[in-house]
Amino acid sequence: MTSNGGLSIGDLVVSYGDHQVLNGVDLQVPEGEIGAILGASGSGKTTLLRSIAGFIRPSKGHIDVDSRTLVGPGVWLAPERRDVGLVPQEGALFPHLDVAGNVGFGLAKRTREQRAQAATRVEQLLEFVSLPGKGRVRPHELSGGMQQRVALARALAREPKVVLLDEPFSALDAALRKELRGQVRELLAQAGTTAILVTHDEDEADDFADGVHRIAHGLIIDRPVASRSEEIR
Amino acid sequence: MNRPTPRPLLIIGAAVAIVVCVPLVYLVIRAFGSGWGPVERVLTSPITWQAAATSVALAAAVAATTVVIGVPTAWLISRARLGWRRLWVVLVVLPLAVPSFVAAFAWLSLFDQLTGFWAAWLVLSLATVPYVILPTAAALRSLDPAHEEVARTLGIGPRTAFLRAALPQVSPAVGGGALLVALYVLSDFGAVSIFRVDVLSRVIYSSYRASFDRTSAAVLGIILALLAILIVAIEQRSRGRAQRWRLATSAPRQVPPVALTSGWRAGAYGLLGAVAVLGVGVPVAATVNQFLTGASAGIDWPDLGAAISTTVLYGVVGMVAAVVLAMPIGLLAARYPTKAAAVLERMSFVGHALPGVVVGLAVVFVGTRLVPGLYQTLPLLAFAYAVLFIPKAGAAIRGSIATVPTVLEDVARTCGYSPWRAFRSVTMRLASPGIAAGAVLVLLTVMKELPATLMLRPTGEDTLATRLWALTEIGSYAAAAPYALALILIGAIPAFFLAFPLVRAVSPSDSAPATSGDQPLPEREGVRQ
Repeated sequence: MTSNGGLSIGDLVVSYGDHQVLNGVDLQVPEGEIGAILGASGSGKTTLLRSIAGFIRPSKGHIDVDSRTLVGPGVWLAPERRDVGLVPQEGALFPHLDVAGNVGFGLAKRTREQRAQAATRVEQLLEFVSLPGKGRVRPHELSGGMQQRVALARALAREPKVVLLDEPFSALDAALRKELRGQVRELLAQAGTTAILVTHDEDEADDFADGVHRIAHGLIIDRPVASRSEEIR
Repeated sequence: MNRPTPRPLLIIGAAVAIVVCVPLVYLVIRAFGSGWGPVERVLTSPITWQAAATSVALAAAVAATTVVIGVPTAWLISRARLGWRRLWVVLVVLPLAVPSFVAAFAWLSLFDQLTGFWAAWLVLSLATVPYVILPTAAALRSLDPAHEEVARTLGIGPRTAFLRAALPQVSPAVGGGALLVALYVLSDFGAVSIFRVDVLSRVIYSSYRASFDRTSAAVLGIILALLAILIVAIEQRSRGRAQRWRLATSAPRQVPPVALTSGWRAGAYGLLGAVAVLGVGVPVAATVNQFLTGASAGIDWPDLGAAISTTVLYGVVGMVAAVVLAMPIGLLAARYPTKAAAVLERMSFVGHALPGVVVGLAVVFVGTRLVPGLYQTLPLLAFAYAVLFIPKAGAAIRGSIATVPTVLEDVARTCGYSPWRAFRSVTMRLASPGIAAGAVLVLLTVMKELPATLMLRPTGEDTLATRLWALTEIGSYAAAAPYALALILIGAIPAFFLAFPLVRAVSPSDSAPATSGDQPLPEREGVRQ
C-alpha cells in the first residue's frame, strides 16, 4: 500500500433518470481505518457502497483508492479491476462450493503452482478467521457467524485495497452480532485493510468504525465523529 | 432497483421473439390472403363450431379430471407416509413417457369398441395427469408448514387446515399444471384421430391433407390458436390473483410425513396403483403383447433402428434449438424484469398457445414461400420445435436463474471475475439443474411430437412417432408395436430424470412401511400430522 492511501470520494453523483440518489458525496477514509456509513433506508448508503464496488456507474465525481482512480473524468473501472472485497448481508456464500472453494474463489488456479499457492492461502485465511480445518465443509453446515467469517476470508483473499461490508451483521442475533463485530474488527485491523461498513444501526457504527459518516438524501450530512483510534489515543 | 439491461442481450432477445412470432403472423396473412370469402365460408360452417366446441369440452373435461386425480396423488407422494414412496413417485410420473397416441393405440388393441369423446377423455386424462402431479407435488414440498400449524392452533382439524391454509397456496401450481393439460388436449392430434373425435386439430390436419387450397386449414388454425391463447390468458389472470397472497420468501422447514389410517391407506394405494397401472401398465402390457405378435410377424430391425436414431437426433436438435433461443429471453425476464422484457417474454410464449398442428402448418407456409430451400429440412423442423417449445425451456431458464441471488454474481465480480465469467461460473452453475430439467422436458416432448414432425420432416426420414402413425393408419397394429414400445422405453429415461428431484426429496425415513406403529387417526379426521 502507498503512504498516500485510503479511500477518497469527491462530489459523487448517481442518478436514475431524473431521480438523483447521490447528490455530490464527499468522503475520506484514511488508509487502514474503518469508516461507517450510517443512514436510514433509502438514504443512498447502499448506492454509495455499490458505486465504490463498481456495480453502479456514477454520472459525476471521483473515487480514488490508494491514489489510484477507480472513477473519474474518463475513467471507470469494472468491479473485477478495482481491488475491492465485498462482504454482503448474510455472507452470500456460493452454495455449490465448499468453504475452501468459497475462500479461494478469486485466486488464480490455472497452473499447478498457482493451485498450490491458492491452497496455502486458503489455509492461512481459514486460520486467520479461526476456522481451521473447515475447508471441506459446505456453507449450509456453518452457523451464521461462521458464514460471515468465511465471507470475510473470501473478501480478503486477493488482498484488496478496500473491504466493503454491507450490513454484514444484520441477520445475526444481538449477542453473536456483538461478538462477531469485535472479531471482524480485529481481523481487519490485523490485515491493515481500509474498510467501509454500511449500516443503519448507530450502536454498531460507533462500536465498529474508526469514523462514522451519516448519510441522508444522498449526501454526507456531518463530519466524521472522532475516529475510534483517536479516542483510544 | 433494476440493473440496466445490457443492450446486446435486449437486441438478441427481441430478435428471437420476433422470429418466433413470424409463423403466426404468416398464418394470419395466409388466411386472409384470398379475401374474406373463404374465411366467411369456414366461419359460417357448423362443422367449424362443432369441432371448436368439442375441443373446448374435451380440454375442460380432461383438465378437470387430471386435477381431481392429480392433486390427491401429489399430496400422497409428497406428504403421506407410505411404503415404497420413491417407487410410487417414479410410477405416477412415468405416464409422461407414454405418448397419448401410443396409449390410445394400446387401449384400442385391448377394447376394439373404444371410440369417441369419452375414450379420448379417458386416455388423455391418464396420459396427462403427471403434468398436474409434478408441479403440485413440488409446490407442496416447498410449502411452509407454519401456515397449517397456525391454522391448527386456531381450532381447525388437519384436513381442513390443509384445504384452507395449504391448498390455496399451491393453487397456482395446480392451475399451471391444468393449463398444460388443457393445451396438450387442444393440440393433441394422435389420440383424437385414433378415437375419431372431430376436434379442431383433427379437422385442420384433414383439411390440410385433403385440399391444395389451404386457406381453410389456416383459418381453422387461427381459431385453435385463439382458443389456446384465451386459455393461457385465463390461467395467467387467475395465477396473478393467487400470487398476491404469497408473502413469505424464506426457505420453509421440511414437512413431516403424515400417517394414514388403514382405511385411508388402502384408498391411497388404490389411487396410486390406478394411476400407475392405467397410465403405464396397461399401455405397456398391451404394447408388449402387440410387440410379441409383431415379432412373430417379423420386425424390420434396420427400419426400427433408423427410427430410433432419428427420434433421438430430432429430440436433441429440438432441445438445443429451444434452449439456446430461450436463453436470452429467460435471462432478460429473470435478471432485468423491465416492461420490454415482459413484452418479449409474452411474444416468445406464443408457442405455448399454438398447437403443433398449427405451428406445423404455419411453418409449412413460411418454408414454402419465404425459404423454399429449407422446406422439409432439419433446420426448419428445428425452428418449428423451437417455436413450440421455447415456452417450456424459457420458463425453466427464468425460474432457475431467478432463484440465484444477484449478490453472488456481484461477489464474483469483486473476486476478479468478468461479467460473463461470473455469470457462467456462479449463476449458470447454480441454475443448471433447473435448466437441465426444462431441457429434458423439451427433449421428451419433441421425441413424442407428431403433427409438426409429420408435416415438416425431411423426405424419407421417420421418427418412431411418425413411423408408428403411418403403420396404424393402414391398420398394421402388430407391425407398429415395436415402434410404440421403443418410444415408451426411450421416453422413460427423460421421464425418470424429471421425477428424480421428487424421488431425492423423499428421505428414506419417509418411506416407512405401513405398519410403522403410528397411532391411527379418528376416522372423522382421516389424516393427521
